[in-house]
Amino acid sequence: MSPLMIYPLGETALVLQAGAGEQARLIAIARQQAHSVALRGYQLILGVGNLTVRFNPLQQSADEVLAWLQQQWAHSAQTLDDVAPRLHQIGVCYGGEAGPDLADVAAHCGLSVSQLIEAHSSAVYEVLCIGFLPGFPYLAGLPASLATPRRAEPRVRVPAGSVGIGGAQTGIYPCESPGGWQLIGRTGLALFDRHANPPCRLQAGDRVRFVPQERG
Amino acid sequence: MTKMKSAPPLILRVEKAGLQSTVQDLGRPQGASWGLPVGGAADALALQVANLLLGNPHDAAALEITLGGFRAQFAHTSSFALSGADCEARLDGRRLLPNAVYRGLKGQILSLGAPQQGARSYLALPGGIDVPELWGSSSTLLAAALGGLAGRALKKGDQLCAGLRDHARPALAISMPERGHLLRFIAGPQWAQLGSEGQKRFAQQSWKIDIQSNRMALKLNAGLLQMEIPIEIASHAVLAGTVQLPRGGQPMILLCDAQVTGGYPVIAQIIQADLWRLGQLRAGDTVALQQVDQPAALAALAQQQAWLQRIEVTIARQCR
Repeated sequence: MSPLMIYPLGETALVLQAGAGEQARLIAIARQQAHSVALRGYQLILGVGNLTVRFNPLQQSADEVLAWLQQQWAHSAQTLDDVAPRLHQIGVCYGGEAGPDLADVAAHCGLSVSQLIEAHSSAVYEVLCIGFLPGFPYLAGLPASLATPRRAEPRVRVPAGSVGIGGAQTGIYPCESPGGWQLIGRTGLALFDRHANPPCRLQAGDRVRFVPQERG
Repeated sequence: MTKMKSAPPLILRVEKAGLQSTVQDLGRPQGASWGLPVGGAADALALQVANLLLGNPHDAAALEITLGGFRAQFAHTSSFALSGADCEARLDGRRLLPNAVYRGLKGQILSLGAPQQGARSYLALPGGIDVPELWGSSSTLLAAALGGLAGRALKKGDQLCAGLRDHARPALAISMPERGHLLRFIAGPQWAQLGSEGQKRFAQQSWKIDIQSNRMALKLNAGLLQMEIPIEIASHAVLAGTVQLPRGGQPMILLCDAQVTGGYPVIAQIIQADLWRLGQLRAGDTVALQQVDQPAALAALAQQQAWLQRIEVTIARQCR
């Protein structure tokens, strides 16, 4: 087990650092404590291998929050199995205008374009947390053979739904934004929809599989 | 049958929206698990003062006007409050003071010039500016085109409605605390890895705000700073006031629209009581950073809250 550390981030937050190997336990805390957290006026922010609690230091003492965090951590070992992951199948148009860097990535990896698509779409990815942009999933599970450095020049505008590879990560841009990832495809699925409840389609702990789609 | 709710009163017609004017309140803190930045006013203290002056809830929605250049006409007579950066505001040419309540008569023109110092002014209307709430907040998040007025900055021709019909407010002005150039910080989780030389430089040199600054982050200019022990860290929560040090050596202080998570080392955290100062900094301004401990940060925050409460109580007494 990796060593557990809890340290302050300013006077309004405590960070529980457990290591990426303990992500499932951190997710379990974040999910199961949603109600109790709202009651206490805390906010939980899940990172990769860490979990941050924000609180109002004029209403709660850091010692109180620290004790709560330690208790949640101890408890999370038993409730771990209660979380059943949902699997999302996400249709992706690979290549062409939707994935302008597909051929470059395949060349970098020493694969044919169809081998690359096959490898990318047969893996099952895990949503570690949501961050960076509204609805943006940090995904684990990219086959190591597909790791490709980011583009030397980031694009000023990456279209919403773009699926990309950046270093050892793959991900989906939920909304139009600047970005430096290599774009290999695009999905028409909205990851963040303000009219949906909840607005975020994916949540930490979910599984994702990309399904190649014909262009049309 | 339910009684029809009367339409919110139209108060202002925008003639000139300025560089960036958005509807803001105290933000949307519960959206973190969806990756939503908290957002809200860059100078939350000024926003609260403007609201309190009008007898509004302290977190009501107001207009945040960046670097002035704003003009609007009163469609109906109404009280209003101004706070934050002093933009030489005028009502039909008559000079107005910042941090004060006024009454605009139907047809009068409210105009804001460019501030001599500070960056953001706040304009509050009775009952707050009336826009649909999204997840408990009216704040505009430009990056995601959410909230406020259709998720965007104001433009010419927009109309601003108030939550309440006007009830005359007593003329009141408040003196805000000095902005100064000092920002107090608590050492961040990676402060130690900056090394004693780096720590000394961070806290002793003065820093200039870079032109590449916005509601997401302020970049700092001056001699570059490097971590003594370079480290890779996993994505973790970042907050308004978090000071990140990217490999390039140019520290960044995150602001209200900061993304929920980031992966750069965090060398410092600006204390809550000084966050409002960040919202008033602009390119070319100089700041100095001073390290304080947790008890000092809490004392400053408690003092600021008490100050706001005194204003609320005093104004309630005036209006009785």
